[in-house]
Amino acid sequence: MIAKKICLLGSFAVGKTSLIRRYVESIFSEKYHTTIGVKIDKKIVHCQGQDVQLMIWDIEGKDEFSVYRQSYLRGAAGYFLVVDGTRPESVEVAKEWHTLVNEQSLSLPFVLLVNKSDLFYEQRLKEENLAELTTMGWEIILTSAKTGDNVDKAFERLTTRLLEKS
Amino acid sequence: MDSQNLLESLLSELDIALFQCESPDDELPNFQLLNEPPSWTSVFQDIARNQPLALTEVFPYLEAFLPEARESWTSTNNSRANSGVWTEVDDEGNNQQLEALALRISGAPILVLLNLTRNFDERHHLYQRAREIALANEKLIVQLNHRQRELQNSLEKRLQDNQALRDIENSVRNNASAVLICKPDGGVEIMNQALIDIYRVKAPEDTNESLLDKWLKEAEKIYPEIHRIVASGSYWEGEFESHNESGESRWIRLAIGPVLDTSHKLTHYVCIANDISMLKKSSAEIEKLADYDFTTHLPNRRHFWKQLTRCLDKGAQKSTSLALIYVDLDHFKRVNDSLGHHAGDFLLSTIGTRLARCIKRGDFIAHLGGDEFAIILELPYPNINIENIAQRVQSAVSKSITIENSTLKMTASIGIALYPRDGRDATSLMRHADLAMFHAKKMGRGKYQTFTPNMNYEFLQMLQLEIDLQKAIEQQQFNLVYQPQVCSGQDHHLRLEALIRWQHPEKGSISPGRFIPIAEENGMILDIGLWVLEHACKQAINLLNEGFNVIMAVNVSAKQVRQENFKDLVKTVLTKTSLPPQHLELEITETTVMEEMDVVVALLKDLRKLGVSISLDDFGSGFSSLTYLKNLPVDYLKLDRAFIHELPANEESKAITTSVINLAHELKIKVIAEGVENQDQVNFLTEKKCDYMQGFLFYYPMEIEKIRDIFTAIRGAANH
Repeated sequence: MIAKKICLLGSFAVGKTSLIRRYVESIFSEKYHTTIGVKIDKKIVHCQGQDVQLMIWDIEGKDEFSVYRQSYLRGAAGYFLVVDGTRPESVEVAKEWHTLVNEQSLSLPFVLLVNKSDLFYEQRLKEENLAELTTMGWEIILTSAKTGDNVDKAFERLTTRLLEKS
Repeated sequence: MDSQNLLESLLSELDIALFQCESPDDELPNFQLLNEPPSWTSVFQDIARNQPLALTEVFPYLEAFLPEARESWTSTNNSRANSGVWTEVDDEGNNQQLEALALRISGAPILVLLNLTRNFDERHHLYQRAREIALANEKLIVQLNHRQRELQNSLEKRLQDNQALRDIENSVRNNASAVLICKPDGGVEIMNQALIDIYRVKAPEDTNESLLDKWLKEAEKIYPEIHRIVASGSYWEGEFESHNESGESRWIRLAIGPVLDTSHKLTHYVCIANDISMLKKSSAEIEKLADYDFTTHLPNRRHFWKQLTRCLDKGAQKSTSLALIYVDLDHFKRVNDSLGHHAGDFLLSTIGTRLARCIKRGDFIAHLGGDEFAIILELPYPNINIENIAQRVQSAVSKSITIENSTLKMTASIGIALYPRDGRDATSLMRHADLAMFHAKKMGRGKYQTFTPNMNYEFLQMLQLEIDLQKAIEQQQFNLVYQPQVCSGQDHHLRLEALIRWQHPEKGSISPGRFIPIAEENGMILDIGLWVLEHACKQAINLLNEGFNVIMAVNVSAKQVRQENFKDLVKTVLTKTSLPPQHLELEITETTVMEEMDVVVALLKDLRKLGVSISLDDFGSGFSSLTYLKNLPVDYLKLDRAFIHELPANEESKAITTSVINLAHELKIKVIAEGVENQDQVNFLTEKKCDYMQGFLFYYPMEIEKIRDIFTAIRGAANH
């Protein structure tokens, strides 16, 4: 069975850990529990006629406390950029992450997840924000770790893309 | 206990496992545990002493860390690599927090594995709290900003609508935000309870100093440009440390908004303050987070000052230079006012990102607040072209942005100050970059300007002139002079252009070129323009009554034209002075027309319906297009003096002048040549059938008495 490392990158409190828990364990907690450093989870998925072990790296949200390490992305086959649809500033952090990945000369498949789509009336990301990213070639999926909307789809999509690339 | 046992007990007590790498060059090397396995290792399979161990299989996280570890193991300078913390799920399903250190000891490649789980809760709690506070602060500040701006807009509107101060006072009395409404001199009109609570004052008269002045002084420490912004009647907002009457310190977020009356005269300042001390002082960790702006996610003003000071210290130590680029978006308030604050925030965020992409790694960009950004460039070589960078910034700002179905093209005014040439400390460097930006804005926006020492002097001169200009209106220091326009053919009218002059009681005569742009900027042009119109019409009717068939041309500014009631004002003046409309001509510059063509064309049509004639002034000085002439309801076209000056030597000017005259005539528009100064010009213009000429060759602008003498002489000559 092949193994693939994927990373979840984004600002703090955008829901990276919740997305993984929803995907791996099918559970969700309303309580915010910050991640320090990295936590690795595993899940075997069946994609394109083969079993793939996903090594899912949940990486600490980017802020003043966090330290970025090149090792985080080493060996990664793809990554998710995660933003919070209620916090436009988290898009800027996602862009910073994207720049960091590029600076490491890594050309990896990635998908932007606009999380917390269940908070319908609190969405502050404008369509223009997303349109700008789409024109840059970014694939965008709206997700909710709380309801599970599009979470499996997002992981399946990234897995497909990284298998296609390999 | 021997030292070996002592050491092993210590390592165990500290939850440390020591490994030696047996084959550092292997892709997935084996490790040997060197000490007694600490208790935590039992919850992971296969960790035992004296057995080769594929550690990266037990802890996959370490595989990615190996390249850094190998560097340390082969390094000769005692370097060590840190893996950072990671969480591993043990065989019993519990989380274990681990960290690895790679180093070389006595030539051996060592990996130290620390289990941090025991004390991790404390660390986690700290991070958790700090991030929760940061999140809450972020939300609060977003809400606060929007609430503050809404209140500001509502109060400004109520004041503009001349609502009773008592009603306004009642509406804000119990508002949670501190509200101060004061006159331009700082005199308090309204002060609510929240403000009294913050500053521990009982009533306005209890304050020894104008609160506005006090705020300006306090804010100036981190916003040196605040005086300039507020003095020029612009909106300002920011955060700074303020002290109340008893010396108690608080962080306040303050917005100062000018209120202008219909004639664009400053009547009040609306100041709204919120105590944000709690947000600022929550914890040392938040202090760090407080270095970033929430809208653009760029370093904020506070961070900027620290960085600027650091860069200047470094510059002083290493004798290197740096450039400070101050970027101010032009007309940002219009976006905020017309599309709302969300759109404004989106615009700032987009431009912030673009600017950040303009600079190279190691340079620094900050969002200072509102529509201001600053860039610090370290200049390791003296020949770096800063202007190229300024142009790059301009082009990043001016790319179009789509917001809510509107496509905007912004411009920025940019000021540049260089260390050490333009200032050796952060405050003076910043002030000079701001002044340079201010000059760039005066040059017509979308421009950049490098600081020069005379800017300080010019700025003070300009501020003084602005104050004096207000007095000039009140004390009637203006007078009109009149310049005749000579007909090159047959015309039974005597044509005059009214020109304003300012006789300053101390400085003598001040050229319109100096004071009109200031009056345009601060709105005084409306009062001045009306005064000119009334006086010119009065003189015209006097001359008419004396039997001179005069047409009086009066210049009208862009701001006057944009007044909603301009047509009614003209009508009122004509009625008041009894001047028949056909004896008045209004001169409007082509730039005014081009700015809002549809609106201006409609207005010009209405004015012509009154019987007033229209001339298009300075034709050729801007982005003239002959094709739009046919759509303009104008009677006369005044060729800009720049073309006439070059006649007849310059072939291009000759060609343009000829074409304009021919086209104008085809459109039944008469042409007036300005700035005619010699006979060669007259000959050329006469040959080309230019209808009228105006210039020093014929007459200088002169007092009405002299005009009367000239007209009398002309009449006398005609009668003979």
